[in-house]
Amino acid sequence: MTPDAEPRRATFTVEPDAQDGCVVVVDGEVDIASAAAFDDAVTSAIALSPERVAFDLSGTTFFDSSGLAVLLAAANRATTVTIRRASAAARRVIEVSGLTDTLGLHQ
Amino acid sequence: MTLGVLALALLVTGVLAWAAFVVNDHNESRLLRLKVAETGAVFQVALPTVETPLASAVEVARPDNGGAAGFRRYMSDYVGAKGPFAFAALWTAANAQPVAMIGRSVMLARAPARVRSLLERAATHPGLSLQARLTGPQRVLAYAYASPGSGGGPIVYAESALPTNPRVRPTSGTPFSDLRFALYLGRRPTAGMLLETNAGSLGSRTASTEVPFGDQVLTIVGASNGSLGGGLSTSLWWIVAIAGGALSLIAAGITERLLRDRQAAEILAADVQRLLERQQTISSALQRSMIPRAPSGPAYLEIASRYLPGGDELEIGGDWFDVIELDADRTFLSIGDVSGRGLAAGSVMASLRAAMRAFVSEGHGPADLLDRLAPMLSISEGGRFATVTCLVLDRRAGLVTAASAGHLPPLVVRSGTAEYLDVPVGPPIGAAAEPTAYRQQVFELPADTMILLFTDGLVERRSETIDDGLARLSRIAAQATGTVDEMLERITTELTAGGGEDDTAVLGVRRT
Repeated sequence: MTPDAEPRRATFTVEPDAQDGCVVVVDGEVDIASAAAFDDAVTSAIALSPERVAFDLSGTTFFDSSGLAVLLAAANRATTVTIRRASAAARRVIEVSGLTDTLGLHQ
Repeated sequence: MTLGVLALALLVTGVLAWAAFVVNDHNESRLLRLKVAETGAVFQVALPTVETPLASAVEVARPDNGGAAGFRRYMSDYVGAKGPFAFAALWTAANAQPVAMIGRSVMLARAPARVRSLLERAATHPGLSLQARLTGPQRVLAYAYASPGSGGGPIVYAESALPTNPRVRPTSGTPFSDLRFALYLGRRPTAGMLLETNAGSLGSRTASTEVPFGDQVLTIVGASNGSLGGGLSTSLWWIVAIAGGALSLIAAGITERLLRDRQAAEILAADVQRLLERQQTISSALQRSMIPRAPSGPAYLEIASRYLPGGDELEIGGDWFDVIELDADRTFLSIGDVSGRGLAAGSVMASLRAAMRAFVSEGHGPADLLDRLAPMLSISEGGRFATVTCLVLDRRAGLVTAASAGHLPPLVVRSGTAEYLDVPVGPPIGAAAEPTAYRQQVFELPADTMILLFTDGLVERRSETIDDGLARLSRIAAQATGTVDEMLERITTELTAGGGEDDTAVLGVRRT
């Protein structure tokens, strides 16, 4: 199965948020094929709220280093990045990569 | 192609021009015939001006009317400068002498035989008879008229002087003004029978008509003085030819231009294709050179490795492993993965490895080495980060010291058991904006223990967490037996059975 076989494996939604300015909701699989779309969503989120950006990865079913690169780039651009919720798939990748603090993943 | 278009367009133009020419030609001929016939009708209307006075004179000259005296009185109005005749005479019989004469005769003086034959003809053919003398300086048309139905009656004879030169000036404002014509006596239009013309020559397109005049026939041959159908009709064929020719050349020019453009585009596309292929060749050659080779190490270590390219074999991942002998007892091991793929990821990997070798040669331990490596990469600059695990294996002490920058933990396999080393994990190289102090930890390493270092391609699967992949790896590794190479073969075969999407690097080291 090639990565292009399924056209929309991941969706990225940017929502304004009272507490964190902006929340990027990530559903589906984040890999090298969908990383560019993820990066576009993060860029528009930071444009909306340069100081604080939050992520909701509770609907993320797959998350690899391509997704980590996007999150890390966001953490370098926005003042504060937090991950409110994360699926086990996303949480474990962040944990084994030693990035819980850098990416504001708690609980 | 261009010549084909040009030839076809010129052919169409030629046919159209020819059709226009033929239509115009037919039209001109038809109009000329009409014009000449019209001219003949006009002549016919004019002829009675000759015939009527002669017919009247015959009636006047009858013995029971005015006789010779009456004839002289009547004809004096028609002979001379103001009348149509230069001479008139009255005969009572064809073979006698004239009984009355008015004016001066040319024919009687110069060609009496012709006068005689004309009179004889008139005597046997009542009505108007004609004779002419059309050559020489004094040109004359002679008429004889005998009354119909009165055999042996008087015969009126008259002569009209014709201009010496039959050529008359064209007169404008008459029905003949746009017609060149020649008027002949008789049916044959020969120079000797030419009465009058208004042109030196008539040209090739002529039409003729005949007008009966007495016992003779007048032949009118006409040619158009210019175009009868109008200028546009005449010019149409060459307007079509010139415009069509110009359009043909333009069409050919456009075709040529399009062909050249297309040819240029094709050449350009071929060049781009060639450059791309060349670039891909160079790129893949460079990338292949970056794939880590099977490392060798000290004799007390049994080493095996695998490098499995991911789905896209044109682009390598940034995975690497390394084995560096520090001294007689200690060996440095590393495994790492630069995020992303391709030549750029490969070159980051190559520079990190080179830097690491330099720091290792300076004697730095694992955590210290990661601290020094950290500033060399920044996610905010190149958009890349790297995960690295470093170990220093000491065979005399039976210890291994390990530190991790966001990398998956090493797996330790010994006599049917497998467990992950709980190496303290710091953020990946290049991930943290603030510098981090990495920590290292020392683990015991009994003899015959294999340390398995790997990158995430070995355990990452969609639809499961990384813990599931790590559990599967430890289960399979625990069951693996034989040489390190045999164990790696079984592990990689079973874990990448479906064909991994990501590149995978695996390094196995066993202390003998």
